[in-house]
Formats: sequence, structure tokens, C-alpha cells
Amino acid sequence: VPAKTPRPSYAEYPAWLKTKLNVEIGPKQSSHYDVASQLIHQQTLQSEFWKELQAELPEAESAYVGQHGFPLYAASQESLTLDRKKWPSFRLKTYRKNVSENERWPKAPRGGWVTFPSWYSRVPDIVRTMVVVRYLDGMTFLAERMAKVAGDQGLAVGTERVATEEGYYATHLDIVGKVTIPDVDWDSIDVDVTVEIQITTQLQDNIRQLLHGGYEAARVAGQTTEWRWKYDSPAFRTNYLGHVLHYLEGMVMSVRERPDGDTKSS
Amino acid sequence: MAIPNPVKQALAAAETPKASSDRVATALKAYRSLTTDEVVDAAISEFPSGELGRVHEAVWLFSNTRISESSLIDADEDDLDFIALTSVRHVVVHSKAYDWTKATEKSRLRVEIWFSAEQYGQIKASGANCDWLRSVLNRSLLPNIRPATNP
Repeated sequence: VPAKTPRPSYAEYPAWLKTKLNVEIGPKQSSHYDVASQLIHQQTLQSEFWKELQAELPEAESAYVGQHGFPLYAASQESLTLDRKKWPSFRLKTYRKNVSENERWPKAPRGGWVTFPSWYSRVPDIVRTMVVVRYLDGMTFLAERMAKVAGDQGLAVGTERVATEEGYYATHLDIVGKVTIPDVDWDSIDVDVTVEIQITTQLQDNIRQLLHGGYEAARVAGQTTEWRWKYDSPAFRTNYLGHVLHYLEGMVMSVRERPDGDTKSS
Repeated sequence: MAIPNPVKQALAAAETPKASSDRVATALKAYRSLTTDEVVDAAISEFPSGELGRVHEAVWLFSNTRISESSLIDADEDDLDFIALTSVRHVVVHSKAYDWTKATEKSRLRVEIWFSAEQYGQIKASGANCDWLRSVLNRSLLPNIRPATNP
């Protein structure tokens, strides 16, 4: 049996990148990322797609209320906030893709190593927004309408229903568009970047906020599955709470659709 | 609030548009609320960018004791970095199509400033801004390079 290649820890990651791939991940890359990510953020906010997406918010609300008689959003949703991923979080994401979550380890992950400067096209949430809907079916409803807005602008769209082992459920839309960022030396280059739209429910959003610290710690440490059996651990309680909430949200839908208690499928 | 002369000259050399000049004014307001240090030199970092035109990415302010930098891109967030002038350890200058006398439209200058192995900044210039950045190098950066001292 060939010896397994150990994965470097996050602390060992910069040295491993240098030795294995001859790639730096230091202050120069951090400085470039700051400018590039700010430009990605700025160009997304100024894009026609973003303006159309904002205009779609009240339209979707009216259509959902018309169809179901219930509000679409968990709270008033007059505009979207576009968040920019900061360098420490981005750097950690490259570690997860290259090392801790790389299923092909010690080979490169699918699509190749995630390194400077191609990483701008490989990390899908350098800029992202989130919409919180009230009911489970609101995720698909809104995702389909937002995907159409992007499609009408000629942008490529990918939709993923996310269901993690850690009890996180959401719908993610990945919209790919071209932006201009500085090149390594003098001028600029056009790159494809992804704007991520996360659509989740109110209950999932609440649990996500409670769990955020735990997620970050687990990402740095690398995921293990020991928590599945450690019933007195925070991970056990919070992760299974996420799954239970998803089940409850399904039951809420069931009651909403058949308030008379008829359990036969329609 | 009056804009200091070195900043005015830097803005002019980089042909800074109004939106970016307004961001510089905001950075200056923050600067003045945090320090009484006089701004004795300044530079605008910018680069040409196809359809976007020239991108004015940051303003650099120099006093007799500190260097400050503020981004001009992200409208949602204002930041202002300060570092001691005596922290400048290493300066790397890259140039392209520049004769070090009179810049042309094609001239480019890029100055890497290393404060430590982990701290780094970069000032970019294109066209006539190269002449201004060269003068900032002469006045405010190269005379202040210091060797690292042991703690």
C-alpha cells in the first residue's frame, strides 16, 4: 500500500505552495487581491445585471403573493447588499479548494490548482449577496426568477441546491460575467468572475448566524466526522439542529399547502 | 477645507476625475481628524484599464514622520493605513517606455515599497504621472530607506 501524502496544515500552506507549485501567497498577492476585488465589487454594482436584479425584487414579491397569498421575503427586501470577500477569507478558501477539501489529493483539484492569478475565476464568491425568504418554496421561486434576469442579460447561470452535512440548506445562484482587473505588471486584464447569490430561509439564516464561528474554525482545522457521535459537542447540537429545522420547514410547507390536514399528495 | 498643494499637484499629474478627487478629499478629512501631521508630499496610484479608462486606485500621503494610503475604488468602505516613514526598508522600481526625463503616453512606472517581509505597498503611474511619481521617489521615498533594526 503506497504511503499517503499528508495534507499540509493551514499554517504550513504558504511554504507548501512555494515548494510544491513555486507559487507565492504573501503581501504582493494580498495587495493585488484588495484592488482586484474592489474593482470586481464596483463593476458588479454598476452593471446592468445588478440594476435589473434590484428591479426584480418587488416584481417577485408581487408574483409570489399573487400565487400563494403569503409574503416571499422574511423581511422587507427593498435592495440587495453586495459583500466583498476579504483577503483572509479568500486565502482560506484557496486552502480548502487546494488542500482540505480536495478530493483528488495529492493531485490538483478538478480544473487545476487554485492559484494567482487564475483564482479570480475559480473562487465563486469574491462578491456575493444573500436573500432571506420566509418559506422553503421561496428559494426555488426566487432562484428561477433571478436566473432569468441573468439569462436575459446574456450571462451564464448555474443553480445549486446546497445541503451540507453540517446542516446548511440554501439555494446558490452563480452568475458569471466579465470584469476588468489589474494585471500583474502594468495594465489590466479581463477575467470571468462569479457573483454568488445565496437564497436561504429565515430559520436557516438564524442558525447560520449562530454557527458561523464554528464553521470558520472547522474550515481552518479541516472537517472531521467525529461530531456525528459526540452528542454533547457543540457541533452535534448545532449541525443536527440545522437538519431538524430543514425538516420542520418542509412540514410547514405541508401544513401551508394542506391546512385542512389532508395528507394525500395533490 | 483646503487641499494641500502636494495633493493638488498629485491629482493634476494623474488627471484625477472628480469622483476620485472627492474620495481624496474624504481621505484627507479622515487624515486631519486623526493627525496634525502636515502633508508634505502625495501621489495618486493609477493604471490604464481598457474599457474602464484609467483606474485611480489609491492616494498616498507623506508627512515628515508617516506614510498613509487610502483606496479610491470601493465606495462602500473608507480605509486609511498609517505606517512610520522610517519603516521603509526596500524600494523596487519598475519602468516601461520611460526615459526618466519626460514621460510619454506609453510610459509606465511601478514602485514597490517593502516595509517588512509581510508588509508591502505599490504605487503605479502611467503617462505624465510617471514624472510626478519619480519626483516623489526622489523627495520622499529613497531618502527615507532605513535598515531593519533588531528589537
